[in-house]
Amino acid sequence: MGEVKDELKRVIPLLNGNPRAKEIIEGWPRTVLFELEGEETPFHISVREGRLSLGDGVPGEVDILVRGKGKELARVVRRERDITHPIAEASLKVEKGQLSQLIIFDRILATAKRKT
Amino acid sequence: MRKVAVVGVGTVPWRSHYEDKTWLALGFEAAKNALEDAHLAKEDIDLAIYSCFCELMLRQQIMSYIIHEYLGLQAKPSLRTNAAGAADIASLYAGFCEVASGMSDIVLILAIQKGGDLYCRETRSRGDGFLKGTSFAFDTTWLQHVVPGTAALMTAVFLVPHMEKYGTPTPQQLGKASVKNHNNALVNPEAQLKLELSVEDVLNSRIIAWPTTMYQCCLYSDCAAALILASEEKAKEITDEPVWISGISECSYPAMRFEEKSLGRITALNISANRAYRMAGIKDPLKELDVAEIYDLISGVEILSYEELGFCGPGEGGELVDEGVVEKNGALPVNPTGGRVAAGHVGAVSAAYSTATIVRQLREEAGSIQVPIQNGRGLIDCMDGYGSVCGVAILER
Repeated sequence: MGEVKDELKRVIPLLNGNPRAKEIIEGWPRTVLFELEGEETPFHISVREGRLSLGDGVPGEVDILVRGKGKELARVVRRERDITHPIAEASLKVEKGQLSQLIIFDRILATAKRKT
Repeated sequence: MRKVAVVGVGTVPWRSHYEDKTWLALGFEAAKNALEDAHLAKEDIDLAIYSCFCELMLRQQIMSYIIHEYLGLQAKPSLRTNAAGAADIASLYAGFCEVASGMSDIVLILAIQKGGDLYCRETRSRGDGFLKGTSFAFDTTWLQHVVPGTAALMTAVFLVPHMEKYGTPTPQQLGKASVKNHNNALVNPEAQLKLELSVEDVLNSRIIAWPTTMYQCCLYSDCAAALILASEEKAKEITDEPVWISGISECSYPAMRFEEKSLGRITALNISANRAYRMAGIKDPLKELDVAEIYDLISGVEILSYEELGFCGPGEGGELVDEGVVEKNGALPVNPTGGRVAAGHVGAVSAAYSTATIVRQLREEAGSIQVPIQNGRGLIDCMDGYGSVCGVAILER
């Protein structure tokens, strides 16, 4: 299993239990497919019944497709930096869907490290 | 020309949204606080001058006559200044001229803006509503559809050209300037955002327009601030500690013309500063001022402002951050409130709020954000989101 998937497995239960994250998740019924270097196979994140879930392979319908370097996304999941940085450096690319939707996913991740 | 003093100040704390208070209630509270501070009654006011950035965002056209009546100032003259986000420095300028000329003895300046009452129907976001409201303050004939939000605009017109010319400020210096203000806000009871941030946190936050990241951008707020100006004769009757407006200037110089000579410069701020210093007799602002509240709509603009305000030479603003000169314990503390990135910001109120803050600093009544006062002089500046209308005031005890 790759670094990103490990990080997501760790953080998703925390996000599903976080009231602020849940509020954003409920308004974001999307499926994101990740095809990343450093990850053995493609995997996806989807919202089902107001909860984030992690799945293997390519799902039937994909709203956002992200390709690029897995280690850069792992840093984003660990909240070392915002997702706009690897996008700006082109180490992650949004091949399908809108960047603004991916930024909402980043907002969900950010709730895990909210300091206020 | 008569001397003009600030004899009363009143503010309400910065908040992202006062759900339980209308703009009228916020304005009333600030005006009441200022009158109490000056030990005056509303009957003592000769003229009221109102400042508001965007009436659309208040959801109230012609706000001045509504608030004038709400305050019980019927039968007294009133004005409303209109200079986008710099309307409050325009109010201060108008109030100064009114008292200095002898037309009025006591003037109330009341700055009010709510940013959070307008929301975007599509996204249900108040932030998006704020941006839409702001966009109507742009030139709707030529610019509204092509001009980005304030942070991106200021980055493109001022910051990046300056970095290309001088190699400064560096991203690290931008991060440090933001951290300085966030740290200052931690002990300001009126600040809206209290976050302990590192330089890395700032630089790794969302890119709004490279190199400006989210924590280098001003907040969206609701706020109101009031000032009572008085003639010398009245001021001496009212208080033993008047704070004089010894220099004031306001001017426009359109940054959106994209002239080569003004790219990377905040020309209107430089012109305003030089006029205000001349009026106040200031030759070396870094040595002669005790404290400054500077309009950091983005952290890069704060650093560029050091240069335009003559605290240092061109390209040297970042060094003032590196050397700690502008820290609360530095030679010239800048933004002990937390500034626009951390204390709060809404156009047409921030400069009035800064003026109130500097008055409290010079009276040595600023509590947890007090800095040492030796020369008895402080500075506020102001600019609209384009940097096209700027103003500077020097306050002196």
